[in-house]
Amino acid sequence: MEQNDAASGIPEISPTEGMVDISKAQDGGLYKQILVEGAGGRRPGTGNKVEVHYVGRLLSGDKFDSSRDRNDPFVFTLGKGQVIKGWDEGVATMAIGEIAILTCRSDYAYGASGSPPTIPPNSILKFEVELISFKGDDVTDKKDGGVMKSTLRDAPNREDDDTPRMGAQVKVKIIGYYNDQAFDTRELSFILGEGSQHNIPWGVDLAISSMKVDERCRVVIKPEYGFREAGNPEFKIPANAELDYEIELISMENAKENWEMSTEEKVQQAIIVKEKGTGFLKKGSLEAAYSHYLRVIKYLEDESLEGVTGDKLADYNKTLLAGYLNCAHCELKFSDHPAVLEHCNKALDIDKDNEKAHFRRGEAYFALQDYEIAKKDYDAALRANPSNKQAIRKAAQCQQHITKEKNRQKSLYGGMFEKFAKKEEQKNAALDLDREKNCVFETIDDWDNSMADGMMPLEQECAAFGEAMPPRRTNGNGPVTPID
Amino acid sequence: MATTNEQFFAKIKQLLEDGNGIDLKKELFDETNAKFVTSVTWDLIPELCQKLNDAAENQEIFEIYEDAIIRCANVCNPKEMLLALLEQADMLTFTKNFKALLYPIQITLLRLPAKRQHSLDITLETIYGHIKQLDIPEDYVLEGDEKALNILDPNVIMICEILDEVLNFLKPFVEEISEMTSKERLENEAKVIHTCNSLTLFLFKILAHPIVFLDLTDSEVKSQARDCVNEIMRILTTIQGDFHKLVRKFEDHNTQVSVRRHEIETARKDKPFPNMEDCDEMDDELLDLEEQVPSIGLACFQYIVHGQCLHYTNMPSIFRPEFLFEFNLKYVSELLKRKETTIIAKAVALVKHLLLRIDDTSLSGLIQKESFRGFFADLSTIIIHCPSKEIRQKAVSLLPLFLQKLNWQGRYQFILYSLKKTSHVGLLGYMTTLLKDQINASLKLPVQSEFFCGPKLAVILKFVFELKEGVPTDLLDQSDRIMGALNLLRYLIIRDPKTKNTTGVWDMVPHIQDTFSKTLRSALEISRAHFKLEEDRAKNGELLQDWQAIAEKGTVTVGDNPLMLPNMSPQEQLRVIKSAIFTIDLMESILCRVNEVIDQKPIIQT
Repeated sequence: MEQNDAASGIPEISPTEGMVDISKAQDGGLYKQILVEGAGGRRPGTGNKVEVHYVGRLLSGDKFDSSRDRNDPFVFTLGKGQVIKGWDEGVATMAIGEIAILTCRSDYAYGASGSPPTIPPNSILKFEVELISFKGDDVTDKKDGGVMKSTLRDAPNREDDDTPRMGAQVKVKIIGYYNDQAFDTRELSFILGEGSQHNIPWGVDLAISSMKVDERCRVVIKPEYGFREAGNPEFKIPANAELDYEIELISMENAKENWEMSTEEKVQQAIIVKEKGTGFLKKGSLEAAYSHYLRVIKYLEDESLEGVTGDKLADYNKTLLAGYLNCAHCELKFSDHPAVLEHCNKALDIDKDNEKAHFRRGEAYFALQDYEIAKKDYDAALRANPSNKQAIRKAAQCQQHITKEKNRQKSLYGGMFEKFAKKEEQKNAALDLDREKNCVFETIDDWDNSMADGMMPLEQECAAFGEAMPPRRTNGNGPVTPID
Repeated sequence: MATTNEQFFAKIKQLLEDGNGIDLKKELFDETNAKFVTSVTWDLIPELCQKLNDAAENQEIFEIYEDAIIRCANVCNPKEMLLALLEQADMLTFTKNFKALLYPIQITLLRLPAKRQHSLDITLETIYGHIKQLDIPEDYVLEGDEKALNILDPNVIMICEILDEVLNFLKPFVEEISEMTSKERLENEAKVIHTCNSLTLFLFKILAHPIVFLDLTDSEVKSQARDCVNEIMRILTTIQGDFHKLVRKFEDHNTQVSVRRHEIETARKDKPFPNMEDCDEMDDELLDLEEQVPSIGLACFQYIVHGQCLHYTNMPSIFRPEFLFEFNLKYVSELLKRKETTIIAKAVALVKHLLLRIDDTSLSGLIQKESFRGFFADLSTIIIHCPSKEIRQKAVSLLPLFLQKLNWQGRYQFILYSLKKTSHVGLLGYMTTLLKDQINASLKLPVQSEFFCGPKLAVILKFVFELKEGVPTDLLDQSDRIMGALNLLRYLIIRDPKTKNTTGVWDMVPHIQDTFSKTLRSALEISRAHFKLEEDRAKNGELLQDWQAIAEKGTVTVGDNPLMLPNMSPQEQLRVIKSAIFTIDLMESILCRVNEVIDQKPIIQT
């Protein structure tokens, strides 16, 4: 079959004056000749977004590619295997403004396959490169620039080049800086995603999940990924502080990959993760809790349930159901209503009469102002548990909105000649509304008008289900619904 | 001689009613009438277009009205003229008439150099409104040489004709930009960028519909569809820079638009009692959102750039092929998820070309990535369900090619992953064969890969040699998988004798015999007895009724078409049963051979 023998038969570079071997392995595969010195100082690191102009030529002098001809600088992320090896290593040695010729042996370029139709197999390539600019690497999921990472030292190349996933056991050395003052120097082991238990902000968890073992990096963390408005009294960090961390990943042990586990193992894992998530929820770390609940779903969703029956199947369904419901709970808090709908729908696929699923989906529809649909969900929640006071209340609010909307439409579309009739109707509608209100007051003793202004706070909803959340002492609007 | 606008228009109207084309032309082309023509644009154009519509069948008369409209385009106020023409174009169905309007629209636009941007935008929108409605060709599931027949499809011919006209229509606007000096470009930077972006979005929409539905494979036969694509790519090369950057830019743009839409919708939710004005305002905001670039258009573009052995100077030759493979997986999945075979074929070609550029054993860590798992799931669906045999075969042939490009760890993980994820027995059997090839390749290395021997190999083998359902396993249903497993076992114990045991398979033999061989033997005995009985019953004609009952109840799905089980004659039934017994015999003979080798005393081996 294939024989990858790099040593035999590939043309070597014959260096001329001014060409320096800059390959990390010092194997004569990559030479640099500086034409114009750069500004000096910082060089780009792994993960930096680098902007260059270049002209690429074969040894014969034939030009095969040029960003200058396109009049469009070339942009890539350094050190991530996006570009040929000669570039990942070569551009990392350049300073801004530097113009250099990088000569790459074929194993540092397009190898035995070449790049048809322009680059033949086993070709040495010459690039004239000008480094225009570089900037840090955004490691957040949302790409909002909240955690910008610059690599200080690359990890050595290994066959096994995994990065830790959430849930992995990691050992790190960290130094936290605030205003260039180190406030936290530690070496510690913890489970990735649970940093907040160790006074580590979420941004550091995120940064670590992008690192390889033995890599060292520096990250700039915006307050929303740091200690937020609460600050950190122990470290004397004020509210809304931007932080810097230097992180070294010493070792890590990833949890088993999903597909490497049996259904039973997955359920066991999922239950552990779920309980951890609930721990975070109790402490108020919503992001951490949410990331745990998402993992519960990830463990179990799309599982082929062939041969899973009885108690095992029940455990599976119960855990997955809890995963969906808890995710929906967090998403309500984040106001990510489409996600709430999706997860509640999946929960209802498992248990079509589930009270919480109907209630939370109702809350999402309510927030999306689909009152008629919302009401159906609240009603369904009530069928499952007729004493759910929150559901009773929200169903009544829906009814109000529906009536109001109907009246508004009537008043909008009613013709000129029906003006009098319309006024009459409005009067009646107002009466209806009153009657309805009265009806609401009949069932709920502590009705508060301000409730109609928006969704109910989540804590109250939790309370309605008897879930453990720290009870709020006051809501500024009057007495809090007693927990039943 | 007319002296007022009204008189002039009345005269023209009379000529139109009489169908007097010659005089009509004379009046319109008379320079002294130019000011009247200009004044009555709004009334004149609808009349002329109506006549053009009616005259569609009569080439001579058609041309007269065509000339008349072109004359107007040259003399009338271009702003008014454009709106009048676009209004007419909107109402027309896509035929000869719409094409006839493109040229006058072009003339009008060219007379509007200063305020072109917005005018061009609305024109392109109108044109795309028509292109969007073009019928896509029927999916005939053509294979091999038959594909040449695609160009005879009336829808394909229509699409190509229209696109040809539309691309011609764009030419002067593209040339205007390409002929600018760099100084002129700088001076008009905002304008140039706007025009380039509008044209590019328009072209990507054309790629999304209808181009992606057309067969674009390079062949001897001249293909108009290919010509269109070449022209589109020529324009994009002229007006855009780095193609990869362009795709990245569009991806970012699409994400931003989604985020913004989400924000607006969330803001709307936060107002519990919105009044009508607020709603309108937010609706406007939603409408003002920039259009997203259709992702299937992006996927089609990536196919054109990477899925053929073509070189585009705007595609940088710096990227690692491994990166390009991974980057494009989402587009491959996008294409694979469609049901049209012409689109699926593009996905398969794209993967193949991306893989061919990669050196052997240089891909790593893919299985950890969700995009890859999604791709594998989509590819499996094609391998199992695609109605085109040619595509199924091409898709299957991607698997060994792909394995070849992976490093040893990647091969190991991929095989393990696919064995766990696949339930289709045919694919499982094939993966087992590929596993055998990998073990074979590993044995040929100077130092064996740690992944295809010892404890790591044992993990995979445990999977292969497992009969989940035990003795009652349906052997015929599972035959592909079981045959694969038996062949692998036979290969292993012969290629790697007990005395050497390089792969460590011999340490597993007791386990395999326990979980696999013994169960299989019992299953074989029961199945054989069962089919012998069936054979006897078939000979006596007893089976016929049972089978008919099944045939009446059940349907079998092949591809998308439900098929009724055919009524079988007793002879056919016998043949089916005989073939079943043959399969059982085959399994049994390999199993015997395997047991023989296992039981051999080491001394007998040479």
